[in-house]
Amino acid sequence: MLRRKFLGLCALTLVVTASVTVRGAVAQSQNRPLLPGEARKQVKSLGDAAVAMLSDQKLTQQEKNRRFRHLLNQSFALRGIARFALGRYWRRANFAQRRRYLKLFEDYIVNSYAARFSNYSGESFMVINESIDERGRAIVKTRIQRPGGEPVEVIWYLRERLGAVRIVDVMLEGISLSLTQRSDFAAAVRTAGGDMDAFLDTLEAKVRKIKGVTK
Amino acid sequence: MRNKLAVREHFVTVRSSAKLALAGVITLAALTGCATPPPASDKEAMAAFKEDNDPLEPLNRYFFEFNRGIDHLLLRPVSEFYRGALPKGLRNSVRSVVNNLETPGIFVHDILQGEVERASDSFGRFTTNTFFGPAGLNDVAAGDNPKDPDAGIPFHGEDSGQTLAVWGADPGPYLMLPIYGPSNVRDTLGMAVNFYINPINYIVPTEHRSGFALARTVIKGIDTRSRTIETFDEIERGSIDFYATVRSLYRQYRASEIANGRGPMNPLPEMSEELEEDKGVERVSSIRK
Repeated sequence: MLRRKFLGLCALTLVVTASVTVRGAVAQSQNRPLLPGEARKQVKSLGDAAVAMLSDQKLTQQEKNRRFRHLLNQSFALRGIARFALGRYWRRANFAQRRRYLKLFEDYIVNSYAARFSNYSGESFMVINESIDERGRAIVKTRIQRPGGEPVEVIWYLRERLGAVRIVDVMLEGISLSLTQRSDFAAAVRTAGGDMDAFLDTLEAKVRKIKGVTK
Repeated sequence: MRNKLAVREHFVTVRSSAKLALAGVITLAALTGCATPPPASDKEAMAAFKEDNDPLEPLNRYFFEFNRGIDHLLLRPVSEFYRGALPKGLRNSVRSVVNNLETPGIFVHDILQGEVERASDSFGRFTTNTFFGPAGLNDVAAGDNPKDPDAGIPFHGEDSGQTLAVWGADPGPYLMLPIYGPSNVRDTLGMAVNFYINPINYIVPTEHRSGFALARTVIKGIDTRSRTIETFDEIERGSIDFYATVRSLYRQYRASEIANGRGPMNPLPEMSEELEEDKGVERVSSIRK
């Protein structure tokens, strides 16, 4: 009996130690400073993949959406951006609401951008430079050239987290897409009287509406 | 920056009538009331309220809808007609002439802000485009070379609101001006004095001065709107609260203009903490296939 108890205690200790070690390792791996060229390469490959996908005329709209969703999840810290966009209301939301929100956020982004796929007219994409700030995050400057149009400068912010290098924000003409999204959602939740479920219903209706335009 | 595409449309500035507009806003604010602040006990809500810095929100929203109506009935159709009727080269000339006429004023602001290099850019652009444009009809100073966009000196804007900001003035509460669009107390005051600062206004006789300034503003407004039709449609379609989105866009756009593109390296200091908070517990199922 005693022996069993002892064994159980050992097992418990082992599990606790292991989990503490894992958490420690995770904590250490957080925010590894990016190496020069790492972020640049990632943004470049994202741009190339996007241009290849958009210019492939054999793909159906549905297939394009699917590939875009994949690219988005692969390259962006989508959950982090989603949480940032919801701001202080994230902490108040319960587990089910958070799940529903994260799912809707992804659909919202995919469908917002999918509407633009049909307008693709031979844009080219080039990386201008990359810099790494004092906290090891990378800033990649790119230029998107539209045929016959004026070039648009787009700046990408990347960081490493839990072993993956991901984009956390995109800036266009000094405007942060993440921050703008946050302002929009904050106002929308406030309009809903702070009721998370009501806000999620609004967001769901918005996604449905954007989808309708695409089809 | 030649392509401040998305947000410009709303930032049309008019100098001469700004004072009148301000007086009107104050009167109407008194009539319609203010936004109710949250209870002081809710610290987060209070912080958000201060961050919005929009005590006149109900009134501002009213004017926002009013402006959308004007846009729908007048500005947008006129801009669409302008875009359809004139070839691109001609429209570029229109923009170039208007920009060139603003450049002496921009030069004064460059000096007032202590920006020697940008002042010399403005001076060079004005002389080059006035003589070789000619009369500003072509932006030869910018070099408009799609293969090498960095060649030449591109146009940059400045105004009294930006100069006041560089001097340390706070923006004050957000304002949605009727017709002229998003602003704040500082930028509205700036609009009122800008008219007196641009030397170009003094080349025409006194009685035509405000007409001259107004005509430039209207032309610039139509030209800019014609270049942002699709962009603004997309922003409107994508946003849940279009008013709040435009307010955010205006703030960020002005901040980047004031910083002359030398903004902070990381625009989202608080974002890192929010991202940190997650321990990777909840995963969304649809991904990572």
